[in-house]
Amino acid sequence: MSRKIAIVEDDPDQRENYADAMTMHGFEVTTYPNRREALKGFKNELPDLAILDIMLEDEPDGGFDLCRELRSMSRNLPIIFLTARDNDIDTVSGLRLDAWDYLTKPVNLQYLAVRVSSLFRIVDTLSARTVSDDKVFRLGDLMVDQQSMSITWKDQPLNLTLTEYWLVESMSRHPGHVRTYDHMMQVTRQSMVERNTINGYIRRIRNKFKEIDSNFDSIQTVFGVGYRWKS
Amino acid sequence: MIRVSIRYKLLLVILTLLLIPWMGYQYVREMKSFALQGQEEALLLTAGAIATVLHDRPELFSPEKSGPAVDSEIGDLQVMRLDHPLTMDGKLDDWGQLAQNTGHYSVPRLLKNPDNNESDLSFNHVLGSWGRYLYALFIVQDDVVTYRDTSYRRLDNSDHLRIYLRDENDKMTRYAVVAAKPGRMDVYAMDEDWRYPLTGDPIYSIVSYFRRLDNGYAIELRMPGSMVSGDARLAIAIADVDDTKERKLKTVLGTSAAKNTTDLGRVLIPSPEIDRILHGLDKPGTRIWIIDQNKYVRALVGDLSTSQYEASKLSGSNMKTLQLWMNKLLDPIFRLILNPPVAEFKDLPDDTRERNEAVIYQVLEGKPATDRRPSIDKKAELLMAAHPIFNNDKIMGAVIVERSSNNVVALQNQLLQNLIAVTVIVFALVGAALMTFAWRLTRRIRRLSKASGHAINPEGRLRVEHGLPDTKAGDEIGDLSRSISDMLTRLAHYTRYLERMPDTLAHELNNPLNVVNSSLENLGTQHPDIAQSKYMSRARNGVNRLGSLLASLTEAGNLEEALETEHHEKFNLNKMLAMFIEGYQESHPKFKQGFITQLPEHQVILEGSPDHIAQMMDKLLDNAMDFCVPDQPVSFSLSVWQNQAIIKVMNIGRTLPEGMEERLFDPMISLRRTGESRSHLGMGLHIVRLIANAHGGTAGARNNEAGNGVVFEIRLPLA
Repeated sequence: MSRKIAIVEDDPDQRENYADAMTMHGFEVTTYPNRREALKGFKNELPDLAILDIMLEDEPDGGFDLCRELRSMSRNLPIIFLTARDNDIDTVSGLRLDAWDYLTKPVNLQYLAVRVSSLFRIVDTLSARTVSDDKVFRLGDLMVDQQSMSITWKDQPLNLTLTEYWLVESMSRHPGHVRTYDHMMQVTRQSMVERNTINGYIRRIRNKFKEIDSNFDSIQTVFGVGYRWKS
Repeated sequence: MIRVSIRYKLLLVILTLLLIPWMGYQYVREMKSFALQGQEEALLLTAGAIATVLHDRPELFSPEKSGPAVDSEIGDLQVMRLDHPLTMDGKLDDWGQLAQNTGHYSVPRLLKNPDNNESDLSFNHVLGSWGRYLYALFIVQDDVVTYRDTSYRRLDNSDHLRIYLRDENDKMTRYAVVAAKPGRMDVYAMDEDWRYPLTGDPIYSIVSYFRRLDNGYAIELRMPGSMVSGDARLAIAIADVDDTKERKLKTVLGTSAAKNTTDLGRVLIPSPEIDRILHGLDKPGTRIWIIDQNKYVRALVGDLSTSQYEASKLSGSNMKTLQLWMNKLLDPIFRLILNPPVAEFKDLPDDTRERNEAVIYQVLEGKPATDRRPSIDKKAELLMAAHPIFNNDKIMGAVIVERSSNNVVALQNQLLQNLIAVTVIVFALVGAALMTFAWRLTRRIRRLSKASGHAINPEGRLRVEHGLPDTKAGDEIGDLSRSISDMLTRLAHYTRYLERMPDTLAHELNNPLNVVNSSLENLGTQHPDIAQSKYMSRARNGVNRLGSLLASLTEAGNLEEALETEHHEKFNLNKMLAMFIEGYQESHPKFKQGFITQLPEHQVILEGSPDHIAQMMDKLLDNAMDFCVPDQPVSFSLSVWQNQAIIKVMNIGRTLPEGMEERLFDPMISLRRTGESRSHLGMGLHIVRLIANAHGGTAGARNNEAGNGVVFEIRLPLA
């Protein structure tokens, strides 16, 4: 049974392109041009995953509202935001919308497919509730579960998005070594990533760690180059 | 352009206030002349009033006949008014001052000198009147004094005094006054030849006394005033006999030189009636003269110098404390400007017999006249008014009223003093008010000018925290402030719009770009042969370039928002830069010539966002590397000066064109030549400035001293 993906995007060309790409990757796709129709569709049948554009026709924050409504219908539904601006990510984070990931346009469809697959894998792992220890590694207080793509710090789970998980995982896999910006840009699996975008991700990641442990300082900035995990 | 501040301009305008005291001075001067004129008129009125009292009272001028003197040989006898009766004792002391000045009053005239011989005879005389009597004193110089020999009946054979008297009925009487010895003299009515007395009885109404002096003798004489009343005429002569044996009359010397002994002189007695009238008119500070037709002074009352008392009274009256205080303060100024009225001055003496001024001639022709003359010692100015006295349309004499202008001068001075005091006060108040106003005005204008100059930061953004002053003021400056404020707001909106433009544009372009991108991807996936085509790769390349352009367009906008919300932390800039340059060198292995780094030993603590400082350094070094000539390293230094961290990045290479130093940091300004491999929108240095400004610092660029490169200098305040 193929997974059902809902794509909410007001631009028909982009919408159809996403739909085509996702269909090609074997997903079942439903598309909606605006919030109202999407909501009507969701009430009919919930998708397995939703890709939301933030600006929907006449509603600048239509995606956010839709996300909230979707979250009220299902706690664990993976949601991917498509944004045109980096600050939208901050907004998402600030509104605590529990989005699973976000992508800045222009969207690389290849990466989008990877992301969707990864998220489905996480969903599967969560539902299976099986922990295979070989997929888990520890580094001091940090524990990375590659199976469920989840991370705990001092045994407390962090609510990281997929991209944030990838970044932490990438740094922690080579502790003490500098992960350059170029490297981290690839890790994010997005087409257009600036250094500021990486800095933004790291800032948000640090904040999430600091919510658990205010003394957290394991992510070190190597100015002008990148970041490294201090073991 | 000559810069004259409003303050000085207003000060110049205030100077025109000086016209007020000038105006006041002119006014006071005019007032003085008015006052003088008024006083002259008052004096003329007084003179006229006195004259009216004296009109048609010829007896006042008795015993004189009206009309001019026909013969100057006739010696009119001027009689002085005495203030006490005299004793007939031949002593001169009760004559007082008059006895010393006898010569002044008389010029003896030779009446008879039969032998024509040298005369040793001369005399001085003075006449006085008191009460009903007429007094006369004769001081005679005579080498031989011959007393009367009573054995002779003839009386002209000794020294004697002759009285020629013609009464108002033209009846001629002659009296000889003879002395047999010093002491009381005998008086006889004489015949025409002065030889024998008419009767043997002496005349007792005339009392006379003889006293020997060293070189002659003195005769005192008293006769009733009634003898010379009316138009009576009088002459007195001294007859001299030197030879006691022959007793021959040698010389006769008289007060009248008339050949015809009936042409006698007038007796000019100061009229007691006039005096009485005048005394009623006596006013302090005023002298009233009555002169007759011959310009002889007939009466005089009053004293000029008392007017000083009035002046002081005038200046002392109605003075308020403030005025007194002001006067004290301004005394030096007053003394500089004003001539205080003279307290003491000398004028014609009281015993002046004759007045001769032009005004006298005028008044004696029948016209009232006024004049001013200086006092005798020229210390004061006197006002004169003269009015003729008529008797049946004939001019009998004139009244002259004199008064010093002292009180007018005092009045003028007082007015000027008040004027100066008021002017000073008004000047000070108005000046202070205007200066305060000017000061406030200029301060407001300068504040507004400063505020509007600072209202827009170098990026053209309105600094809202610096609201313009005076926007609530209801005057023109308030209007100006509001319109500038309005203008600035609009400008800020426009600037904001321009700044948002790249962001908005990027936004709008992103969606079609995304369409192209995703379409190309899908095309490649569905048609793998096309995916290998070189056109496909070019299209992707183009899309990527477009994407990076759009990203750099939005970078500045995103950065600004990030900077506003960024959490600032304290960090060691020195260490951070060391790390940064190390990492930067590692990540740019192609830049072989490397960097010359100069960092201080000590910590340089800054408060801010290290990520953004790194971003700024990144842009600066990128820029320096791009413009650096091959094989030349980029210099990089940090120093601390005046509580500021100064980061310098220098590269050898193309210098900045003139005027670009500031503009370089504006968005979308690039000096890169078109066609260079990387896509640039000139946002890099704009971001540098944004970050520097967000840290309270500045960014600047200039050509190096050698003129072969460019130095970028970032100044950041230390924590």
